[in-house]
Amino acid sequence: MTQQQYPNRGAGGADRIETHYRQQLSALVDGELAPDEARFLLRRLQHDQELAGCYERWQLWGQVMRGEVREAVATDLGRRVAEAVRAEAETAAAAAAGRRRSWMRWGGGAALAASVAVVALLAGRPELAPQPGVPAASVAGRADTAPEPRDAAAPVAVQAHAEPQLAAVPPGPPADAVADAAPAVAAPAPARPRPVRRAQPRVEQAVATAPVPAAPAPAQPGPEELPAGTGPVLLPVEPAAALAAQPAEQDPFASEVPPHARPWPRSTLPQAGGAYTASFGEGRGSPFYPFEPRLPQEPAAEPSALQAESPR
Amino acid sequence: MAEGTQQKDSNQDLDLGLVRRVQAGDSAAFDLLVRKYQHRIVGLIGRYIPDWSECQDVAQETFLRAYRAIGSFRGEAQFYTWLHRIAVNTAKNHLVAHNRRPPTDDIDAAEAAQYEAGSRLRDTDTPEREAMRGELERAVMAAVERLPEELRVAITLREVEGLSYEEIAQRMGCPIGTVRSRIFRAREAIDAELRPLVEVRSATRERNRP
Repeated sequence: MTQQQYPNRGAGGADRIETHYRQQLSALVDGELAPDEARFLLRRLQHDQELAGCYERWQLWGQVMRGEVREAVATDLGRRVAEAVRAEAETAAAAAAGRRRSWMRWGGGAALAASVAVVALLAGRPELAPQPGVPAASVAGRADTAPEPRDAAAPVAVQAHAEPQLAAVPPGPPADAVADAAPAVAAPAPARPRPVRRAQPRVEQAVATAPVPAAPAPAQPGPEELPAGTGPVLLPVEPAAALAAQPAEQDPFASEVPPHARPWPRSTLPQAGGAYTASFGEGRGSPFYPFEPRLPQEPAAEPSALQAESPR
Repeated sequence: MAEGTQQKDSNQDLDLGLVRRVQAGDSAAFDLLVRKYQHRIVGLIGRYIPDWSECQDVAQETFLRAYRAIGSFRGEAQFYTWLHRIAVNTAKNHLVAHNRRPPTDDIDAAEAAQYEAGSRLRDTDTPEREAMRGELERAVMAAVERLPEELRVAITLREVEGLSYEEIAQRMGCPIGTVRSRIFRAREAIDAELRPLVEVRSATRERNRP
């Protein structure tokens, strides 16, 4: 075999590299190239037009030998298709980017609104303590007997419609009696004292001044018993008797435990007895001072005395 | 029969690998599929559409449709079978759009592999085109015949009979590396002879294109 017979086989270093790539290409065409080498060669084929032309012609010779092709087509068909595919891919990418920008614009607005809402809620949290102006009987009724609602949607809807309902409440006994009657119709769930929103006393005052029947409230139909035309907002409006007992548990932002009662991380780490926390200890054990000299232990004091000495 | 199946398997594996890359967003891999099948697709469309220029346009439209729909290709059939159906439909749609009647009988992929099956649709070929078609085939066969014995056997066992390198090594009694080298040298020799022919014909065809 002479060099004239095989002009592609050069003798220089660059030709040796090209020959190496063509040898790899021959193995790739036959499916005999290792996957890693095939991946690198495919990447090279993307920008090496000479090698890509070699691939195309070798495929053509094989197809002619197998009788699958009798005629070669213009060599620029691949280029035309590649240009059209590239244009289409760029168009699709631009459309996707446009959709992403649109989503981000709306998403940014939604995130801003959510941030404002969170800030407003956090600003309102210090005012969640019980209001001093609320009648004592009403607060006591809430704290002691208010049921724990499990269906959160209905109480919220009820609260939203509280004022229209209160305007149509028939005359009845005073609200103290209502507050006492509420436990009879409420579910016997254990009640915990909950903070009250600032807007709530307005409803309570209205309840306290509006005459309501002393009889226990009739059983309210469930959402499935409502007329078909009633939307989710028009949930059953509970009578004033239930309203008097509900404000405590209708606050969806009320925390389970008052904020001052769970200094982190003691409430989440029950195994931490308080000695390793940054709190004042609350008399549950002596604070841990690792660099303080150990002194002889004094006799243990009475728990009541320790509690009296603790700052809280 | 097993050898033919093996040839199909190696081709299908390579095609499927390229298709997976295209589906993953590597549009450059689609260029290799176009380069591999453009001659077969144009030859297939040429049985429906006699005009060479229209053939090129319909072939381009075929590959674009395939690119758009490649996400739905699941690899259950051969890629060329799938591409063949797209080409036939595109050619028929082209004829209908130009108020021409498409042929009632289709050419399936198996028939298309043997070009003799489409004789009815080639009645519109000019004698010059028919002569050119035979010229390429004769040139390839002549180039193969001129190869040294060991190269000719190796390339024939690979391309026509579809044997793997290991099977060719066993058949020829030589290491696999030798088989790989012989097949490569055979391809280089055939390419050295036929490349000018293909390039000249492509250039001539482009000059004559309206």
